[in-house]
Amino acid sequence: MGQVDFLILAYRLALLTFYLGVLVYALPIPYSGLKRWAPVLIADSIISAILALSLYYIFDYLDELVQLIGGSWTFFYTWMGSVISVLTALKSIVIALYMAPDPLGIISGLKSIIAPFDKLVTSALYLQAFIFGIAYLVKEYGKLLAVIGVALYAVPFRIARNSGAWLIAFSLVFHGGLQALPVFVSTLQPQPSFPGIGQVTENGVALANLTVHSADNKSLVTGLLHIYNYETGEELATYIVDNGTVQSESMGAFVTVPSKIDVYYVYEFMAVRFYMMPYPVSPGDYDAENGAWVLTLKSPHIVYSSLGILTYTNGEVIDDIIENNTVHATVGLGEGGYIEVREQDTCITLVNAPGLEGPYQGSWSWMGLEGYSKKFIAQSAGVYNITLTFQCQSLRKPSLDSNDYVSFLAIMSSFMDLNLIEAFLLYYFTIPSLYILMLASTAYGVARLIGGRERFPIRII
Amino acid sequence: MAIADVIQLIQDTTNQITAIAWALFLLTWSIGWTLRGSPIPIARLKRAGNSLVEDSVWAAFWLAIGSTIFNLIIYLVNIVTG
Repeated sequence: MGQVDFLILAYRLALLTFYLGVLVYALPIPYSGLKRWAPVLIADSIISAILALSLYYIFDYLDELVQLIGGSWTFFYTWMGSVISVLTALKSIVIALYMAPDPLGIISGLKSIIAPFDKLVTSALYLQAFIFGIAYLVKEYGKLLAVIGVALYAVPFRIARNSGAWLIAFSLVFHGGLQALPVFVSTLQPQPSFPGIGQVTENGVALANLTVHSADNKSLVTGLLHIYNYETGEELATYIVDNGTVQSESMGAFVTVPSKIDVYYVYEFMAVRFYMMPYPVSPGDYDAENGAWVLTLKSPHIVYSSLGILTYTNGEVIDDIIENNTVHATVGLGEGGYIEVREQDTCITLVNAPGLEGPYQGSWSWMGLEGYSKKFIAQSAGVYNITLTFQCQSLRKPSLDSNDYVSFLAIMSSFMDLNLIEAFLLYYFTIPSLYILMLASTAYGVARLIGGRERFPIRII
Repeated sequence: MAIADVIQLIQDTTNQITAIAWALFLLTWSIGWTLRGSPIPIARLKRAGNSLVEDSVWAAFWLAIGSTIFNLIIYLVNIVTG
């Protein structure tokens, strides 16, 4: 049963109502109570016929009117998509905050402050989902509802007039009104922006416990760990490595990472950058443990790393034995492959690399540290042994800065910004509710006007 | 019952009601004139006859106008929609 069928039905019902009115006129019974129905039926039938014939024009006219003030279904869905994704992102941040371990004791005091905000976000999500549901109904089935309304409206003797009028008014008012909702809300209150929320909306957020290892699964002492978006290559965050674990400022060994996209990790130390395995890292590659994602990252190229020494190769580390101040390593190198030793300037190293050409000496500086490098190059492919003996004194630590993917501290402090909370309330909750109430009361008014509650004011005779 | 059947039923009912309305118009018009022209000197009876005549004329008027306009609309819609 399509819309046209209902329109034809409505028109035929209007005709029936009309002839019933004429029949009542023609009855040879001079009883005024009965005769009063005649003009009422005729008037109703004319209104119903006009409604049935002009309904689509009314819808088209309404669409044009709405477009004049800047609304459209495309705009509505874009706006609604952004609103729901921001609210979902906020909700996921709040959930992550609740579950966040708190080794430094920074978060616990603030969790109670977040509780009402959590309820606020949840309620706003319910409200927006409700509006989204109505919008879907009205956009997909609005015209069908309206023509069913006209058919009900045209039933003789005003049997279904109330419900018909309500259906027509609801479809018309919400069809026009919801398209203009974003315009209304944005005019009264600009969208509030939370720090880092764009990241979360786009890429998701999860708490992670990351460890970084060298080729033989020894913890890397210090350095930086960068996170990159695998698709775009954009750098998302930088964390400090401390004794094999990756650290954030507020939550110690727990860091925030993207939860929706593929990323890759790059470890940086002594001005050398290593792609970490696995590469790339998908959200499914993490293990889950106590609400946090757990992952061990490994560089197959790092032979040995301490605060003063970094030994790495572009070949394959086959074996290594580390004693106090001596490293014995076996590496597989291709032709032109190399092994390099980097040291802080307060270290003295002795390298024995039989069969390899070198050392080619160089120097480096990185994050406030300086030092020298010795490179040994293979003339032909093969397996080579290297022995490194070193002695370091008064080692300095690099001055490292981290840049959290999502800074919970910044977001939490924004939760306590009253202006932002006020803007949030207005934008996501108060103004949309107000607008929906306005639409409902307008629909009620229109329903009354076209005859839902009272008799139509026009009298034919 | 498909909606087409419902529409057909309503259309048939409408046609029957139209026919009955025409017949009732003639009847009412006759009764009205009969009462009005009867040699019974009761004013209320005469007024009733008069109102019956008036109503029947209105009924005839609406039947004529309504049938014309509604059928014209159906005719136009058929032309427009092919």
